[in-house]
Amino acid sequence: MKKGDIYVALLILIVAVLWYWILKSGNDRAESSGVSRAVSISVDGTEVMELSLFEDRSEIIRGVNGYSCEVNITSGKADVVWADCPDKLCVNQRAIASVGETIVCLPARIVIEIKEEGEPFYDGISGSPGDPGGGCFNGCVGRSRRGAL
Amino acid sequence: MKIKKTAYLGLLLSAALITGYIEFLLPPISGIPGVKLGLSNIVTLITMELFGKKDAFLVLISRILLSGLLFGSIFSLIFSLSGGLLAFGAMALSSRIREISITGVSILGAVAHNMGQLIAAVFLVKELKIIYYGPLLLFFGLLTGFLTGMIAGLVIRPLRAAIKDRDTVN
Repeated sequence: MKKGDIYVALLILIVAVLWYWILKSGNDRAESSGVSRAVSISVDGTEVMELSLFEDRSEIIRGVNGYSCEVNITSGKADVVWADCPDKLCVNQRAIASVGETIVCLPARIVIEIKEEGEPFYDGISGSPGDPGGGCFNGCVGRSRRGAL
Repeated sequence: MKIKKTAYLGLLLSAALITGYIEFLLPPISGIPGVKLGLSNIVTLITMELFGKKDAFLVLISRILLSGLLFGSIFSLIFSLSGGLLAFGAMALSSRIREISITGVSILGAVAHNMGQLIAAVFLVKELKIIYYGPLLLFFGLLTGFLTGMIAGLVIRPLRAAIKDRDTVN
């Protein structure tokens, strides 16, 4: 450990905090101007549901390959409480509430995302054979295909 | 003596592939995509210290291509390349700064790697909101970079001694 290392660590922390602040203030501004957060649920790249984050609700989403999952919206958070997919990664993921956060069920190709009400869903799932889709940018854990190193 | 160096680089390449596989076996650290220990970077650091930047780059590219071809998809290859190249650039540049030790180099490498993957993700998935992961990725890059840097630091001295011994014996 040298003196320069401390500066590096501090620099990174400062950039991280700044970044967080910029994103947060952007969100806060949007929210105070009346745009509230919504839960966008999509299957295979197409949005099937947009629910308000602030109305308690429970929905069962039917995905691809016969897999489904149950989404719960309570106290301003969205969570996947049940799924019949083999890896159950979606159930283990923490509840989401901030814009941009997502929960993904890969086998079912279900994406649950927090966005600003009314904003169009950006279809980020490009289709190509063998492409797991859903923004799996560190590789697809739990599948036979290996992830990025 | 060139054959000897090739042999060592081959060993390092294998080590990088194996550490990558070990990471794959370990459970994910958090719910956040893109967060991993980055153990393969230890090998890149070691190679850079013991053999120089060019050889380190060679091992890095070989490892990325091999693991991408053997175990990954075109997508994982793109993410690996984007993360790996940016990380290498950051490490190559920062290793010149005398005030920074290998730990600092490793931190910058880890952070650069995460940023590279973030950028690739934004373009590939075409979802700008991914940028929200930024602060967390920076923080985890700092932690994992620190960890791998410490490990590399511990391992380099005995390795350097071992290589020197072999050379004088022969």
